[in-house]
Amino acid sequence: MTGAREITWDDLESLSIGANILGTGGGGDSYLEFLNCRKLYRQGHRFRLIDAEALDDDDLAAEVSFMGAPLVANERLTDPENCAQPAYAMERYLGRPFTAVMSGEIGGGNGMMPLLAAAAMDLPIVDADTMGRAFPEMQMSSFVIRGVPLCPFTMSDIRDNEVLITEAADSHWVERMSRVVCTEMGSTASVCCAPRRGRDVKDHAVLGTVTQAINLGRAVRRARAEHADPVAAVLDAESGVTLFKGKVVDVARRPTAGFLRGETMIEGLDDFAGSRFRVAFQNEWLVGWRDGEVEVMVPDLICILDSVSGASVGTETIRYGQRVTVVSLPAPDVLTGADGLAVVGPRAFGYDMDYVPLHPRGAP
Amino acid sequence: MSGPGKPTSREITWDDLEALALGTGVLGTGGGGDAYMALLNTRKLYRQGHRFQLLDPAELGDDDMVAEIGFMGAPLVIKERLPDPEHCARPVRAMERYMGGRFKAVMSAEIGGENGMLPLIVAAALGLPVVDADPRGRAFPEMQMSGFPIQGFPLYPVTLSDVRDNDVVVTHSASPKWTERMLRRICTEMGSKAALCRPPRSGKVINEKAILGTVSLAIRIGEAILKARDRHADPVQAVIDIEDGVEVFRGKVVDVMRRTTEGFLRGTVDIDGMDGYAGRSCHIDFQNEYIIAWLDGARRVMVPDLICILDTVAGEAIGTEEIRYGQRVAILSLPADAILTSERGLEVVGPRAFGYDCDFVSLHERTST
Repeated sequence: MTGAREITWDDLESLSIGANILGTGGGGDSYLEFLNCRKLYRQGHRFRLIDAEALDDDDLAAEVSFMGAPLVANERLTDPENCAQPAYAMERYLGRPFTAVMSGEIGGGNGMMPLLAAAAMDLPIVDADTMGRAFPEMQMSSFVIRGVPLCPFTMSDIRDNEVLITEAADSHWVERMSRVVCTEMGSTASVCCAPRRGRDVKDHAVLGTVTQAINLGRAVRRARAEHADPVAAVLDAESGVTLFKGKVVDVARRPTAGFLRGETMIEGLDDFAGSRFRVAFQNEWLVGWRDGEVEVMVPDLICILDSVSGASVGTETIRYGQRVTVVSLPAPDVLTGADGLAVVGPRAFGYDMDYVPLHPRGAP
Repeated sequence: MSGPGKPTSREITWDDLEALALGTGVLGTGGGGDAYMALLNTRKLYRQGHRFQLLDPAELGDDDMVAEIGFMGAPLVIKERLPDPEHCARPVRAMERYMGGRFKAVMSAEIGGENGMLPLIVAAALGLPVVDADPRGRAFPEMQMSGFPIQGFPLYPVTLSDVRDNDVVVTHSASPKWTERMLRRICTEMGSKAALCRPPRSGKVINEKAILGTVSLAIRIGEAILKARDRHADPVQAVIDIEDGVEVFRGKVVDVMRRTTEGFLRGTVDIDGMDGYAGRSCHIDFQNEYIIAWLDGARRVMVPDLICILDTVAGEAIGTEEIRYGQRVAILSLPADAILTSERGLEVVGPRAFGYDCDFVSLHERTST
């Protein structure tokens, strides 16, 4: 395919770091996928990245991701064949092969999982995803926001169980049905959303996010190498803002109904001494309050970074005593319009508040 | 080939409908859902001019495909959500789209309870005949507890639909039990009732592996009950006579413990003896269906033999979801089909498959198969 460029050995580590930051606490840690990609690379496999523009309008891209609880995904190691299995099932159902693979969500392990599926299927990866971040539920996607259905939808586990959803009352029902199957499968499954036509990817996906994640991770690594401030490097790379800096003093975490929910409390240090910052999460960080006042909310990205290394701290790994910096990065425009907010705004997560943007809009 | 024999091809008459509802109730062994709603539904269809054709499986071509259908869910919910022909037919149409072919007929996934009448409703919507056979000869609570999985056939693809037009296909499963596990969760999420279509079965497979003539059998059982009522004879004895059954107990229900768990209705029934059984007691465990009956503390009847609780006056079967204090009941054991009592059958539907640590012992004599 024309315009393909290689994701280099060096890019893999950058992608892993960048995807974790864009994961806003969720999406699963990408470390295991990173190790898996390196192994494939050593075995001679090369990962090809293509722009959405390189797809013909009628080409089909497989939108793949893991579904489930991040804690379980850390225990059940991933393998490329299992990542590709729902895409194979979709090809059999459609009677047509895929031309490329794309990520359902760039954030966390799901930002790298498509590389594994693509390796198994020997296909290129589209430089795009459907969120520009991570979200906990299947219907939280730019395609759904733009009215492109989630069905047909396939899911597989490591036992060769395969489920296909051919019709759903709405995209929320795809989430409900696949979530209970995923929980029964042991809270981790590989999934493939509706086949994405090249035209739809170009019109409705969030474009360039694989490159964005690689650049973000590269900026963090460069800052580390130069003994500069990696958190500042993240803000520079993504036009982000610092919201708080401090020490984690409390974490309440409970796995419920297939999700990891809870909140964390951070006590201010340095310029923020005397203040407290609370963050609620459902797999991903959702809403942040400073001294009881709402400061930031979905769909804007809330990232909690290790204040020294700039590494992302996940909702399943955050713990007492960590020195962290809370930053916010702007969300893609598709998420912050009226249609977007209906699907991924604070009310979609059960918070009775209007979205107040933190970042200036209108920039391309 | 297995079964009560004498499968026939003929039109199911208006009178047959009531007999079928009664007979499927008896074969439901307490579960499979009450057939009353389905009876009302088939009567309405009959009045609207629909006719139901019963088909002798011998008339199927070897390669003709048959849709094996049933409801999944909790009997209590099934009672509240009324069956509708279009919804019942939906998973059959989804299966036709998935496999890219057309069905020649429909067949019940279990003859017991409402699922024994469901094929008539679907057949009316699709204009297809109903095969005179099923793979269980009774009702069971879980999907893998069926003659086809027992005889080694995979339990995929399976299609499942709800009233909201959600369609799900299990395209592959690690085992029949995994099909059950995944679909049970979806069914519960859908509100504990869904219509499903099991893997397409060929005419050859049905003739060789299904239990033949069970629709006719259910109608005969129902007719016997109705006839006994007309003659003021004992309808319970009529069922025993027609099915080589054994009377186990008669008495009054004195306690019922019922809990809805993990998509099933589980619990126990206690019955104090009357008449010839005065001073004795019977205890029965159920999971949608009656599983094991103890007489004075000793195991007396167990799966896969059919444990049927009948109203002593009307002869009507009493389901696990409706049995209650004070009812006068007779408890019968009817012999299970040889497929279910084979070694492989007992692994899937014997007492151990339901969590009871005991070997299958039957009240019925069997000739070796």
